[in-house]
Amino acid sequence: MRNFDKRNHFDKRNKKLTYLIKLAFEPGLWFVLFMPVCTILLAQKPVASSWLTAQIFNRLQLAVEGTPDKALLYGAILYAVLIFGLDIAQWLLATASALIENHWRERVNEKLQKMFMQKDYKGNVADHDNPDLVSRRNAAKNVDPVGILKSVISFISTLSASVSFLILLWGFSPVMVFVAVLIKLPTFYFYDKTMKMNRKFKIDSGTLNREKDYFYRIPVSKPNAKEYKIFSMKGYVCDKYDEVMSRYMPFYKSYFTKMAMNNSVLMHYDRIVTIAAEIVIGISVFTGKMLFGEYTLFVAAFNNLAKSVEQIVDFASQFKDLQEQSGLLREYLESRNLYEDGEGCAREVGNVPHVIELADVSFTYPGTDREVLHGLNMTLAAGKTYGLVGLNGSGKSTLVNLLLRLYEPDQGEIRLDGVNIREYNICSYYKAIACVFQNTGKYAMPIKDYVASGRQRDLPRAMAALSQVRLTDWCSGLKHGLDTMLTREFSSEDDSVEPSIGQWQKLSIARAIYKDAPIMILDEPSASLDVDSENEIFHYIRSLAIQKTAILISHRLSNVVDCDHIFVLQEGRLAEEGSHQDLIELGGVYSSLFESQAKYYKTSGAVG
Amino acid sequence: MRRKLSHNDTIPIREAVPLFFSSLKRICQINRKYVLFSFLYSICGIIPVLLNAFAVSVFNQRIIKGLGEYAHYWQAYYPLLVTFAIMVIYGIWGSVSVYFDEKYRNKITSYLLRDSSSKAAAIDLASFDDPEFFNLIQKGWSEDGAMLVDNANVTLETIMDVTGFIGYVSLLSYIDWKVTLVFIALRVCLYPVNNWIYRLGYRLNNRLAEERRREQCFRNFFSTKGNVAEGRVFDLFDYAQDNYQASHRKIYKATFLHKIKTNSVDLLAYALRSLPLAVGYIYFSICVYKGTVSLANMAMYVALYDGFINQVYNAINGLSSIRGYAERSRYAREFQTIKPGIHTEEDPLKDKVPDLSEGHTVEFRDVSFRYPGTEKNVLEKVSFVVRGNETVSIIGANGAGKTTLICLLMRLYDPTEGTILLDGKDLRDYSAESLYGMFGVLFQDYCNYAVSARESITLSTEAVREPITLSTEAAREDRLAYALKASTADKFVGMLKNGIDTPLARDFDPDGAELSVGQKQRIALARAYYKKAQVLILDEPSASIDPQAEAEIYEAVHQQRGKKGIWLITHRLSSCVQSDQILLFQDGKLIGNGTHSQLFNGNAEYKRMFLLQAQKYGVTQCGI
Repeated sequence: MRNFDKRNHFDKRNKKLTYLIKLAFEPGLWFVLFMPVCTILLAQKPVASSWLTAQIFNRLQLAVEGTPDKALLYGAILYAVLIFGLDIAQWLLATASALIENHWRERVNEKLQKMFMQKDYKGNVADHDNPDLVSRRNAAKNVDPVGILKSVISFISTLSASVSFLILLWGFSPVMVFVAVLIKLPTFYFYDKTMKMNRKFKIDSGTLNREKDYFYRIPVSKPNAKEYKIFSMKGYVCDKYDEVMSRYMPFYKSYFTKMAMNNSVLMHYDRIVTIAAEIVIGISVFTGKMLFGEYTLFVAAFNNLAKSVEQIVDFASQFKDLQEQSGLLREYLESRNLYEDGEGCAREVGNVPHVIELADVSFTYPGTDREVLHGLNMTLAAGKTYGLVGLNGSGKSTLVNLLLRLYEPDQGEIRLDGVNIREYNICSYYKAIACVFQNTGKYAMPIKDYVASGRQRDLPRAMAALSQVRLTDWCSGLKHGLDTMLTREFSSEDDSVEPSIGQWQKLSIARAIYKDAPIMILDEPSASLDVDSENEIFHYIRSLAIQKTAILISHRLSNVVDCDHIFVLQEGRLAEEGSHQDLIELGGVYSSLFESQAKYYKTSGAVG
Repeated sequence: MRRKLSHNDTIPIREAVPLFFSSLKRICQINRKYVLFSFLYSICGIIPVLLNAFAVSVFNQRIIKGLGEYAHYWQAYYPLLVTFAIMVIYGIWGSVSVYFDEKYRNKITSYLLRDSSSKAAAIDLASFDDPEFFNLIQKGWSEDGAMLVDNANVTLETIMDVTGFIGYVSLLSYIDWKVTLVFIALRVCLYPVNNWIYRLGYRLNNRLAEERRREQCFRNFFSTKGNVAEGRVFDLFDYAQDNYQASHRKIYKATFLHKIKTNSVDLLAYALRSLPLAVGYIYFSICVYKGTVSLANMAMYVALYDGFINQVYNAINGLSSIRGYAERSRYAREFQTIKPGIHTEEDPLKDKVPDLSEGHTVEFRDVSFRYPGTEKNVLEKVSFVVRGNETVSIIGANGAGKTTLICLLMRLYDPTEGTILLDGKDLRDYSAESLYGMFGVLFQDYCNYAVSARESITLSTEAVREPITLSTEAAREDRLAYALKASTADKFVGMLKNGIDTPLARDFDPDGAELSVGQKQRIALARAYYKKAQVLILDEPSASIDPQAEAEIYEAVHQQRGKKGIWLITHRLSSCVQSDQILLFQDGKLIGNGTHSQLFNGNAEYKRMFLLQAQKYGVTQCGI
């Protein structure tokens, strides 16, 4: 059994924040250099304006208490003008920096989103089965790297402001510098507690939060609304919502009560420090040792330094969390895949009639311990149509997954033209395969993009594919024809259409036909199709089979009757194989299944 | 029912204010205590701020005068201590208020969410087909809950701002009322600018809403297993990434331009905002110099300036934000006032559907139907009669109107023309709730819920609200066992980790089970069987299940023959052989109606379709 934890999923490296910072550098070096410079400059603004204000007060007090001197007044006015100038300069710098930051942030975000897309796409489908990995991925996606970088930058800004205030305050009294720094250190305890409480609440209530949203969202979609009415689900849903709320509220209550207490302690402590500083410093003015302007500057410097220390403390309490968050991001983005992605392989799928062989293939889904396929041996020759039949859960879709290289067999190998499929370049391999999936994705894109799967759009070919599945009339009935958007997700009713389930199925068949690959896999392509569409589509598939290898899965055994060869799977083993005629004559599983479906058509004869 | 909704621009103030107050009223109706409590807190909010400013000013004044006038330093600083004491008391009140605020807010929100959730369920299904209306439902529904509370908060904040404004003005006017007046005037000038910026932002958001959803969609394109598989085989990565990037850049460009535009206007606003400070400094410097204003008062003015300017700004902006919230409550309001054509609430004036063991007579009389907002009739003059507990099969090509027909039968829609009679009376004369109670349905787009198998099957209210006694409990278990067996779901439910109590999704519980498509369908089928329904409707029950399960399901359906009315939509004509009546549809018209042998002999289309499928099972001679 292959297990998830057997592989070394993540490299543990320590420098987690540097990873993020490296990421931040990518849109351009000058952004990142510009940001701290701006921040440091902006951080000096309070220092400068406190100093300017103090100058005004000093001059005025001298003028009031001493002899009135016009020069003092003009000096005060000049500083007032400077304050205005400083304000405007600060605004300009702040705006410019905000715009640039915005630009940089969007670039980083875009880059990151693309990395996520890449990872989602290249990562193993198997990872979706592992709840642990899924939650890791979700956690990584919830990380806000730009937010983290911003708090790093604001930390730099606080630090630089505190240095300026420190120098300023040192001029008045070195003792007060120590007081300002030391007095705020105890707040670390409260900030740290807040952090922990936040994190704990997030963990404790995460699932409950989603659950509570889930229940009240139920009636807001059409299929749900139908069932809601017919099964009169209101009472149930409301009760369920109340029940989830009653589990959620105790967490929430204790969380916000504690938070309110914590915040109130921090707030009052801050006030005590401010008032104490005013009283202690004020005595110098009271005794006439200091000018009022100097006093305002002194108090401002003390308060600001203390505040900066508090912010630094706050940052320090968050630092671990930031590290952890960027760690999550890095771990996810750099995690290794379960299977090699085969992009480096140079071997191309040759342009020959393809032969697929399964040699002794066994498979267990990663993270589970039930073997789904047991030593399967099959050979599929070129240009033939193969039927794959079996009850639900017999391993048909798993086999398709293995053929599509979404998973790899634990034992044995799958060979294409005599070579293990793992050795082919993945892109070249996928070029050779077209597939109709059982649950086709419902994408919001124009019809032509869907059919041509976004590749260079050959419209006549797309039309031809659509006509094979009898959708021509439907398409030409639409106002925008092939340009019509599928689903009404983004568009108004005029240029979009919501296909029925049967129509989606036809569209996905058309897409496979358009791809025109030498190997074609059809997994329940006709579950929701009407009689004539089904008939025509299978007729078409049979006509294709001359040049292609086709694998057909269907519960309607009438559809596989004409296949060249039929494989009957039973609980992961090949129970029977052969042509329809052979299997009927064999009188085994296949023939009894076939009989159970044919029965009604036969008994109908007796009706007349 | 169809109204033209155009929400591309902001609404005028005269419409905004009543909207705003109506939503406030709703909150008062839900919880008066909350509103009262928060109101008191907001009104008092300004007192400590002003008191503090005043105390600091007195302190400053006294230290400047210094020893010359006061004997003890204590005389200078005791006002500070007094205010501190007051602030502590107020702070404690604040904490208590936060507690109540959170508590009530959560209560109100959850009440509203429940309310709007059931409101959404009561809306006509037809409304869901009209994208514009659907948009309204989604917006209104999501805004409704969260918004009303925000709305109340905005009101309280505005009250706080206005009282604060009055407080500041009185304190500052005490120092110099002329300058205060000038400052207010300067700030008021900014209102149109703010308004313009706000409207610009509103329009931008409206314009980008769709693009944002598109960006989101492509960004998360490969977040499901199915999409990754398809994406790889059909090479969709570049397509998705290009689309994401295009959307992202488009949004970015638009917002960037918007920022440049508003920022340049904002410079003016900013200048107007910081100019008074400089002017104030100069003006007061002169005053102090002349001796008309004390230095401490000037210090107070300067200290209060920022708070004051913000307060003026907020008080003016209160109007804007009221408007902004009215903007949002417009959706909520419209959503609240949607009048469903089909009332799901119990209506004592209307008849209840009687429980008839011999079955009901259903008659469609010239029924036509088209979906709202479309031109084409999905059903065209359809007439037929079904008597007693007949088994009816509905067949026809994709898009022929089969699913629509059963929706009409259940009165999820009302016919555009013609009438549907149940026991000789119009469907519309029955109460919708009792009508819904009559049917057990497996929809083609059936839903699965992230709850346990048991709950997923038994979730109808009728079952939840039934008093639990020993006998009902036992009866329920029997019914559940029957439903499981009839739907053949018992085959796999028993094998789940916790049996019937296993959650059917891993959303909230890691021990949940992921079912296959066929299994999910059988759970939905069990739900239809569990309900004490008089009529069973199955829309393609065997689309994705294997032949063995299919045979078992049809077996179970046929066991109900004669006991219940059965309506079956199917593409497998073998399953309608035993039906009492087959309805064959083509392009919305009923082109064949009768038993299998009647149709086989008299309807060329039916015969052709039947033989097409039968041939593949090697049945060429049907003995007709």
